[in-house]
Amino acid sequence: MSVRPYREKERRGGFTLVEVLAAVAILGSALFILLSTHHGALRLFEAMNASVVESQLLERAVGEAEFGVLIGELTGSGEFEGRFAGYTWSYQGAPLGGTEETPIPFYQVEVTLRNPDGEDQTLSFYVFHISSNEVIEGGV
Amino acid sequence: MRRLAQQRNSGFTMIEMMVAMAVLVILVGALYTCFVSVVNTAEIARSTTEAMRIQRYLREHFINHLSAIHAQVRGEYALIGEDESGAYGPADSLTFVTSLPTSGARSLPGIVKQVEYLIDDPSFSEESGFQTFGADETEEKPSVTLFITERPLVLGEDGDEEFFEADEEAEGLWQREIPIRSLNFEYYDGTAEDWVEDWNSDELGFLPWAIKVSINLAKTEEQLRVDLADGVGTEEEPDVGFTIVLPTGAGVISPDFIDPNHRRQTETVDGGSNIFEDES
Repeated sequence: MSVRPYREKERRGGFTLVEVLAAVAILGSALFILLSTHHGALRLFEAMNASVVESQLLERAVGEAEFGVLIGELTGSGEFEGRFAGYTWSYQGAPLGGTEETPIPFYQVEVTLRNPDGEDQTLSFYVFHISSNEVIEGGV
Repeated sequence: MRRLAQQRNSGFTMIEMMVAMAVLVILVGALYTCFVSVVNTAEIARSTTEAMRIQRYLREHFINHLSAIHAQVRGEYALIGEDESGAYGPADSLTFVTSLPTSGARSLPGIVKQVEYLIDDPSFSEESGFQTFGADETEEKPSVTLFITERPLVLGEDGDEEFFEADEEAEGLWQREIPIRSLNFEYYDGTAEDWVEDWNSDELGFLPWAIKVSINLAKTEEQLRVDLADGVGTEEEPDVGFTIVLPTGAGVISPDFIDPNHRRQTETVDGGSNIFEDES
């Protein structure tokens, strides 16, 4: 009659500390992976949203710049309001070619959009415009 | 002794069960929160993508069609923009003739089309003649629809400036409905050097130099509540806004629809005579 077999039987009835710790560790790492993946997806979505908004605002700034050059203002700036508060835009136009007597209404325009974090996005393009100083007199 | 031990092993104690349940509840709670968050994100992403698609479509439609505007037309086919207001803000309309081919059906030779942007606002009461407003900002209101209609036109047989509407059954009337909240057009008057709210190129005799388009897209009540919480007014900043310089209108102050191309033609081909001289 020994005590040993009885003790072994009692020990088999529950988990050891190591077993429980291992289970918790596995569960914890699985949860961590799940949550970090979710967080990553959220961040990706936000980044994508921001870049789409930026490209749209840049296109709007291009329209403003084109119009500014049309009415003879070669530099200009402005800011967006409401849901796009914090975004600012500016542009600079430089005449290309021609002489002072016969200027060619051809401009290189550089548009810059600054996001609320202070990061700049720049787009450069060319505009051919007869500006307001050189309006066409029609009717003959 | 042995019997006692067997009895203890045959089930869990109350404490064990409670601890297990508590752990389970916490885990399920975390997972459920995570799942709900994923579903919400997916829904936001879906509606954002849809809004983006509509924005891009409207933008391209306006820019392409206004850039290709056909200037040498009068009467009902002139560029006519009317300033109107709807339940949620401006509900302007605009119609003009453009030389872009009809959407969907690729170019048929010699055919231009009339494009019309028209707002259908069901909250506008025909009988009383005024808008019906909801008392609460977030109250459910009927949606406003933007109708984009493209009407094919063919030149009159005797070659005059008259246009005739093509047979709608044969040529097809292209129409698209887009739910929006408000639409505003502004026109730059080069002679007055100012933006104006409406335009009639038949009366004025020339096109605006540029057109500014401001659109607020249709929103769900949830989005409106979010906007309200963020302190964003629906009228303050349009969802879609852009300025289009009209290539055939820019820099022209003449009442005779002279655009740069025709000026070139006047000076080089016609030897000084104007192609519109016969009319004036």
